[in-house]
Amino acid sequence: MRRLLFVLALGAAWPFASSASAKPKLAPAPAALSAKPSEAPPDKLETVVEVSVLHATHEQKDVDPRIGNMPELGQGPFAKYSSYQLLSRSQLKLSRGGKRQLKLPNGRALQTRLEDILPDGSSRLVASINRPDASDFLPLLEVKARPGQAFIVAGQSYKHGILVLVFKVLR
Amino acid sequence: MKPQTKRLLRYLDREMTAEEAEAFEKNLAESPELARELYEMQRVGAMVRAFAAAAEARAGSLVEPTLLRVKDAERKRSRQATVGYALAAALLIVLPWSRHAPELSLPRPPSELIAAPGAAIERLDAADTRAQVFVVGSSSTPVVWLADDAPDDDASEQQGPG
Repeated sequence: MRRLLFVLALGAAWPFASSASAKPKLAPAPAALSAKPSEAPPDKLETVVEVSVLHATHEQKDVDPRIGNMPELGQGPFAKYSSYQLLSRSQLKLSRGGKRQLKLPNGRALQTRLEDILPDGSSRLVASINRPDASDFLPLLEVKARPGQAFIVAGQSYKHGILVLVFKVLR
Repeated sequence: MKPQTKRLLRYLDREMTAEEAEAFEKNLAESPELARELYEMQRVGAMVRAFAAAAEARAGSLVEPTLLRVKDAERKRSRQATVGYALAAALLIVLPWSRHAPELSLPRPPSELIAAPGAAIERLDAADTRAQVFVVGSSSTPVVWLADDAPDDDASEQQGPG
């Protein structure tokens, strides 16, 4: 019986041994590196960006359930704040070259612009926050993000805490 | 030991030759003392045999279940080893397929399930504002942390990521 099981175990282990010695599969080359001309940009020339404005404070330990699952809030400098409240959540529909403004609770304005849609489907976005008591927008950051990806801009002071802006490309 | 006792023992143990035994039996017939001593030895021998038989019977009743338990334990151990071998063989058989069957693979921590590859910060121009770019923990979501110098009513507020 044991001998039979030993043979069975050897047989089962064989695929591992054979795959280990097999020639590794080559990963498909990124479009940018391939010799073929890059694909034409997709027809979709607009994107939807969700902007969630959170207020982080040291008040009672409480995370607004509407924020959803954001493990980042329990890590790094975010972990210093015990309370996170969702102040607003907006969906900005942006066409290429178009921009949308969002009034922030601290009186400033956030401007988001879709710079381009890249061949791989990702969006190049430019986010700006105007200076206090100024109407002009200086480019703050340029981000490349695919649908489902997010980035965070945090640190602006607001009511005993800070603002945390969570950008997520929806589509 | 007296020579008489030695002879008695040799007689009882049938170690004497036929001639010796014949001569010893003649002595027995002539000596009532020797005959009594033989009788006593036979009586003690019978008692010892009876005690030994009883002890053997009692020991048997104790030893047998113990031996059975030992055998049972050995059988169980053998069965467990067989089950272990079978389990190991089954795992080795199933594992290659598990790579293609997500429901068989080990659960991932929640952070891995949520965290898709993060966005890429291509340019940051914070002008005269101090800013840092980083990711937190296992998340791949980039964070731009602005050291805001705007007035705030909370003087003790920390401005940096620490």
